[in-house]
Amino acid sequence: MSVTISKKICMIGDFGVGKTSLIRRFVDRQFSDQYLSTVGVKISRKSVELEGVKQRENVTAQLLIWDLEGHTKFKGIAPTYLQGASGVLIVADVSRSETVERLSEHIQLFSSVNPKGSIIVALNKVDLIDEEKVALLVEISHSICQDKVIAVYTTSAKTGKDVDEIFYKLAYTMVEQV
Amino acid sequence: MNPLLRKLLDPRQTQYLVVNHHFIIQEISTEVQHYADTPDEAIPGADARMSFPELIGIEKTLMSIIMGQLPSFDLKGIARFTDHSRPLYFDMLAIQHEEEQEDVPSKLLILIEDTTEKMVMKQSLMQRANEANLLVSALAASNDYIDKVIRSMGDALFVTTTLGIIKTVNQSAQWLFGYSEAELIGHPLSIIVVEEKLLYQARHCYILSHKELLRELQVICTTKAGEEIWVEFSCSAVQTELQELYDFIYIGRDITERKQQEIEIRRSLAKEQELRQVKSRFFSMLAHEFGNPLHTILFATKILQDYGDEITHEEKKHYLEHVKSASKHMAQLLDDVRLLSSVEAGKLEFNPAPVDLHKLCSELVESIKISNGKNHRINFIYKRLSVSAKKTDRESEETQDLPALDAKLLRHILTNLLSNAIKYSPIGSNIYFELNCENEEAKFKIKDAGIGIPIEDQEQLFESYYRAQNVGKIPGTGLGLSIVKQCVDLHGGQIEFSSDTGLGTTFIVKIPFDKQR
Repeated sequence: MSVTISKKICMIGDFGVGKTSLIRRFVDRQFSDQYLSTVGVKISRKSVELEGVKQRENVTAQLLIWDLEGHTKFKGIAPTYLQGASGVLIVADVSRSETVERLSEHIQLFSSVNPKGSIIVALNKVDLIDEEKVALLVEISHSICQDKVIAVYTTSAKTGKDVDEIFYKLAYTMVEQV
Repeated sequence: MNPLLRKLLDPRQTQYLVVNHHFIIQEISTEVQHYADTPDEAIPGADARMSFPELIGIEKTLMSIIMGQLPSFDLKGIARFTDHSRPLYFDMLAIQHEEEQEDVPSKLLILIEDTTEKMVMKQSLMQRANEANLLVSALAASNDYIDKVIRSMGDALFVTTTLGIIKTVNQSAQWLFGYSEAELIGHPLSIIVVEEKLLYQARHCYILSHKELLRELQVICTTKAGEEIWVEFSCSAVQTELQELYDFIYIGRDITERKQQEIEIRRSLAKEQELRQVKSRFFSMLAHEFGNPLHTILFATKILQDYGDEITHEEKKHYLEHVKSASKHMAQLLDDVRLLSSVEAGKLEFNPAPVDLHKLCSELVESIKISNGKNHRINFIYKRLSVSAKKTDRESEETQDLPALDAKLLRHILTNLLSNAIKYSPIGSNIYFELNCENEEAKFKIKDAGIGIPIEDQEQLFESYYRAQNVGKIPGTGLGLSIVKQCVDLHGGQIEFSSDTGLGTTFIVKIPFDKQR
């Protein structure tokens, strides 16, 4: 028996960390080096087939991915956009340590609106830095996020590393909660 | 919809849709499909969430509005486009829609207002601001990294203007030279580099040449504490924002220890070279000076052995005299060698005791006159000034006034100088020996009219076994002046000479009465 479940997920994080690029890689299988800042919100849809969820053979999750305007020092993320989201992907740029440091702020914001929402952290742009640095940043992120998040992934929208994994992992977790 | 409300919305270009509590579209404005994600599904009777996915997930909030528990909900800046050249943005506001009839349940009115123009402008501004911020962040990170690299460098780093005014220094430079950053910046590089002109030349060289990095520029620098250190600099230039105007980068390493080692090695090599020369001169002297008397002895003893029965008693005595004189000469040579080696080994000591210089010199002159000065006129002149002031009749007090010198060393000095004067002067010539005691020192002046010392030999004159080129067949060991110099040094005195080849030589020896130890 196959059912379709629609789920709202949000992408949040500082400006320029690659939220739009991760969506573009996941939805359109494309990547562009050119930076184009997002204003307001843009919703993309993608349906994913999930196998073996809750003893059902197949579940189709229709993901409504909200690409939100990034956090800047002048303007934070508007909480109204986060209402009704089942999950969130909080994105940081490994080449800008300040975006990693701000992870906890974003976690707190999302949790305050959706206390039961699922959270995954994506440390993006790992193609830009050394592996040793990445390992250390993962460690730092774990200590920042503690048990508030499901997982911390190191991703690259450029190479596609772990991009599908973050969306699938979030989809499974959200559907499991239903 | 209420006709009055419609009248109000139309001129404002506000689109709307009315949905019931199942989110089924009840009514739409004419152009609402323009803003729908799937326009075909934005029709009365369809689920509004299909065409407006923004409504998915917020159903509870929307229900609260229908039921009058919440006044409104709005979402601003929703983007609805795939092609960036044709952007479309709108704001969405959901409010309760009350029907005029009382028994009909309330609905939800969703108002849509086009904000494309405002949002495109905002995007453009945000794009520029964010790009600038990313650039600043990258620049700051890069600056910070370069700063850390410079700070952690083990070598000293200076950046100067074209004229050599210090602009930047790193921590190593401050440690090496003992100055703080504030004490160096704005000051010329000459405050640390003694020969700044070397670096000045290097800078010019750089500009004029092919702008290649200058390496291994070794200069002496001064630290704040005044200590001199050797620093090896490499110098390169970076063009400033003005063409043909350069800043210079110096990277310096302390090579003082290495330099000292080099000097030490060079000194050792020179010493070794000198020792080799001394050895060579010693063997040469040995061959000459011992050769002649040995031959004399061998010759005389052979005559005595082979013809002892045939020669007269007088002749025997004559040959024995030869043997005796040659042996005595060799013994004297050996004594000189022994004396010099004991001086060089530091075994000859300075033993001061009151010396009557006038008496000592007079006796010495007499003894030389008898032994080898028969063919020359030795004129001894004595001038006594300062010591005479305290002259008394009592011998013990006189003894107290006598200077404490080492008579044995003085004899070595004067005997050698007088013997040389006699040896290298023509027969019948005058030799002047002057003793002058004043200002608490004894000045001995020995002047001859001999062959003189060529200028090229003067520098090495006091070296062991060294003899001037013009000595010809005059016998000598090259030890005399070396012994003299060592004995003068033991006294803390000075020796100097002036000489003209063919005209004569004057030696002046100054011996202080109170040796500075």
